[in-house]
Amino acid sequence: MTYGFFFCISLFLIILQTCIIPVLPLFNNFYDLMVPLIAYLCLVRTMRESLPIILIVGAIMDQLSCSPFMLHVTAYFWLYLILRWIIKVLQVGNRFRLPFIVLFGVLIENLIFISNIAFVEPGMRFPGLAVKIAVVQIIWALFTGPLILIAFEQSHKGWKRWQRGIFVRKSNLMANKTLR
Amino acid sequence: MFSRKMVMIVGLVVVVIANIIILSLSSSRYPSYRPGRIALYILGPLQGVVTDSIRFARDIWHNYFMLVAVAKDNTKLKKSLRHEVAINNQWREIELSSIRLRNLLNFQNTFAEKTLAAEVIAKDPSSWFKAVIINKGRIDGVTKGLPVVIPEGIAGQVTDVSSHYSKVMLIIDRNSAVDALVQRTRARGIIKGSSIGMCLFQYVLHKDDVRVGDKIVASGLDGVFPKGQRIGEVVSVLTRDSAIFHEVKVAPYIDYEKLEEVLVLLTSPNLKLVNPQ
Repeated sequence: MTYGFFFCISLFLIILQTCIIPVLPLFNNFYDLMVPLIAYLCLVRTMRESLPIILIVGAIMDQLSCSPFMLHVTAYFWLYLILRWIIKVLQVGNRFRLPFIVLFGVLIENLIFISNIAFVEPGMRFPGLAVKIAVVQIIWALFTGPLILIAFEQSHKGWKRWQRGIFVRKSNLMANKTLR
Repeated sequence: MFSRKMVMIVGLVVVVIANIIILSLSSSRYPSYRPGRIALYILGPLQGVVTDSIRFARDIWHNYFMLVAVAKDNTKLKKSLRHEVAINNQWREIELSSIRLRNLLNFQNTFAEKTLAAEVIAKDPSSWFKAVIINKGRIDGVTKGLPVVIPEGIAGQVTDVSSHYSKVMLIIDRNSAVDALVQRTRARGIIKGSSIGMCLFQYVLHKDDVRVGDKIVASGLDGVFPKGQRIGEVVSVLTRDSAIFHEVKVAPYIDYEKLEEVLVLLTSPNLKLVNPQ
């Protein structure tokens, strides 16, 4: 059921990122919405539960994007490991520090992408516009990152309540049947 | 025999090396792999539905509510005109879409070979790469490698195909390369994307004449894009005395942010223009 929740959220975020955000006027260089999801996984789930989600989502993103094969998988995998380490070292838990997790995430993801491009095209120079893209993404992450994390938390709670409700209803039905 | 820490460090080093090898191999090849097509199968219909809904809502917003808001100022005529305005708007929208489609159709007639009109339903999730998903796939005759164009110029190339949807790599993507020439002087080079909405016209020899404002067109020598198709206009030329090539920046004619409908040329390579005008 937990996997179900995260896959539904991932699908929703992918649709949001590929269909809705590109048509919104101010959101031209919005950051990758998988970053807050990975940050949330770092905060609330174990590595064993998180890795399959991250790898599958990374593979889907690789397919939808024109990026080299495995770039998103790689980026998400390392992003997860680094964010986990940051959370462990900085003991990030309270909401005052939430903006910085997503911000770090966006920064790390951009660094991975830029390193890949620099590695593939050694002579490539990064023009000002590319730096601008990264800066805009970081600013967006700073302001919207915590809100998205809170939204994840709330919807996860809602999902758990709904799940619990189903089990309670099922067990009540079973109990009624056995009483009859 | 080995401590846990040692095993972890060795594992990490192996993962990093494997990662770098995979990325460097895949970066030099075509950005497509078979099992991942499942993403297009699953997400394509969802993206199609969402995009259609957004367009529907946007059309309503632009062509109904905004004009209704204007009509509010004109209170005397509001009642009698509202109905007419709504109908008028519908006609206007139909007219606009008709003009757009007629242009596409006229453009379509300039090609001797078969073409297929398609709608853009989604864009690349990453800001660093430029691709779009279109609502035509293998069933409609689309195959990998086909060129995609619009009346303004070359849009890109099909890189992945599922049964009903395809992925198109735009020419502004850094993985894209189009053999091109300067229309005025016929100087040859390669148009490469740079992911910042601009293209770089590379490998133009120092001796060749390129100036700001020159039009760049496809040379047709890559066997993908039809010869003479427009690409963009030169916006800057940097020539260093010691360099072999010019450094040329090209602004594409297409606004890729507003790409909605495209035409897939179904019989690449070696397409020929019937009427180059």
